[in-house]
Amino acid sequence: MTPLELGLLSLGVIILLIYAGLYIPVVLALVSFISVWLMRGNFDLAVNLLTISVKDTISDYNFATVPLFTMMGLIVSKAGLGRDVYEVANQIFRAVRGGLGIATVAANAIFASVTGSSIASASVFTKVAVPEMRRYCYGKRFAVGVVAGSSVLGMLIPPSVMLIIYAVVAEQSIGAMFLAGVVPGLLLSTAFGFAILMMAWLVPRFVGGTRGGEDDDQNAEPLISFGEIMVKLVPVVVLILVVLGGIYGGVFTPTEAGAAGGLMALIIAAARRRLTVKGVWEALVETGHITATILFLIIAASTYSRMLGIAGLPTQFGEWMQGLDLNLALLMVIYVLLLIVLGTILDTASIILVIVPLFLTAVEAFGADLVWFGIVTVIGAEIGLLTPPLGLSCFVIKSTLDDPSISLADVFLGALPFAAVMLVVLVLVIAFPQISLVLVR
Amino acid sequence: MPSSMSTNGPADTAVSRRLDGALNRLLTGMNAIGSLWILVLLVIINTDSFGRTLFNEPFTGVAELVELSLIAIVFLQLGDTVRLNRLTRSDGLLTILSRRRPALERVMRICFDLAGAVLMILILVGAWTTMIHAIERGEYFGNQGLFVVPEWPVRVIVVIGTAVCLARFLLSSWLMIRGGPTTPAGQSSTAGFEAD
Repeated sequence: MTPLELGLLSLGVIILLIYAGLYIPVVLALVSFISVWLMRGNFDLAVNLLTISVKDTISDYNFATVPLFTMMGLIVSKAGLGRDVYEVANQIFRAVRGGLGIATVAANAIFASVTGSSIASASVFTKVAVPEMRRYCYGKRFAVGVVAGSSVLGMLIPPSVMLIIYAVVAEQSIGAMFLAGVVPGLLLSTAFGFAILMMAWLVPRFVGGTRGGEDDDQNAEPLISFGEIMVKLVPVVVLILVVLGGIYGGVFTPTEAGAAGGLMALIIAAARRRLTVKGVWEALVETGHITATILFLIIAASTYSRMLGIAGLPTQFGEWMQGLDLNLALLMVIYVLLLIVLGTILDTASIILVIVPLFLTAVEAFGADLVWFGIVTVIGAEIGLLTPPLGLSCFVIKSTLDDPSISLADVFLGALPFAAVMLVVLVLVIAFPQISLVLVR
Repeated sequence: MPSSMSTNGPADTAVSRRLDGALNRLLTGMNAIGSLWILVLLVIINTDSFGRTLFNEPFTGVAELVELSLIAIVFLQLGDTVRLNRLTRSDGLLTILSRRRPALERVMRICFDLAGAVLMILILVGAWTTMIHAIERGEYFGNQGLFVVPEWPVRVIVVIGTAVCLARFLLSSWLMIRGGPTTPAGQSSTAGFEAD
């Protein structure tokens, strides 16, 4: 077998084993190891490949952003910043039909700029927003669907660990990737908001909820005072200023911004008396687990992309795509379909690490912008988080939910309209690269 | 996880259960060190950036310390993520099989943990050589004259971290072969699956 055939065979075996349930880093590293061993007929060379990946891949200053931003997100979640933002958003949108849904989206968009995690957002807002919506008779599918849909904003609006992973894989600047996520993130939030208004109008039974008005008990509740709103919003604003302001003001590198943000989150939590030693410790342990999981996956994926390189697959793939006389639009259609299919069995980080090295050369050959390509990748992969059989956000919501009357199927059905909205936004982002590039280039 | 196993099993089960407990205590301990190390990372990066911005006094060698720390943190935590079944996987098929074909599910899980063990052995081969080189040649990170950190401590951590993962994979598959439960008690493999 030629190296190219071996490479293709390895790809097939990798997908098969991932689907069977073998640990993804083990699949990537082990199959790549065997593949290189067979291609070169040299066992020591294959061992060397693995050794270099372990030794050099994560020895990179930029990767410190992974534990730092993760920790910042976990601390602000524990400090109840998500609930604060939600309460303020509720007040603003309470008079609108479907207002609690729109408030959930808005709160998620803001919360996303101080965390970077879809899963953290999904679990925080499942606890905060779902009971509130249920209290005002919103449909159960709608309530969990809004939380699932808007949780993906965490990955798109900076800081986002997924954008960091893409930046490192595609050798783009982390700062540029963060900036590129802003407008698509806001566009997606707005689109979700409009979709909720439309649904409240077209399918009121799905949305449910009490209509805003004079006699409504929801409006009878006391308003939060202006002072209280400030108390609830100031910490978030300060964090955004420190982290994003620090990066774009040229004061911090992304790593330093992560460290400053983590410290700031600790200070805010302490100042609000929402910080216990136990809480900090739990956040640190959780950060450690997430960091080890992601960085070990990255180590394994680097073995895999070296294997692809040795097989010459990315180059061959690029030439093949050009030989087929494909245009970029058609290539992107194939790419997005692949992302959505993979999204049903894989998490976003794994999708980025498996698919991007394969497509990067081809996409570059078409003269496409790699920052734009990263945003397309992240949105496309996130659609999978909302779709069965293995939409992760939906699983997290179901397991966080304290309500046996809402089944996993309800979560998936509720999330479906939001997945559709994401697809529409993704098409827009692909068709109009300016949406992601306007702040960058 | 031993709590859900039969208490009057054969003698070798008793031994492997004690081994299991000891290994898990070691993994939790390593996890604690790794977690504290993250806090240290936060402090040194802040010291550097504030020192530089406010007092024009950077903390020399931060980049080198950060790079070494990342490797150390990952390998201190890896064993615990294996223990908690938090290593990224797509377990939809296994969940379905656990209801319909539990015997097949068990065989697959045993094979998968053994595959993990094989990978750890392969990593260990290279990590061991790297460690011996670092010790014998006194290799360091950084620029001579400016800031130098010896490389060997981190290489030792990689070897230990890989070895405990190997032990965890082997012991888990052994316990499953002996009829123990196929998933660690009280752990969901999707929690924090891709939290970022």
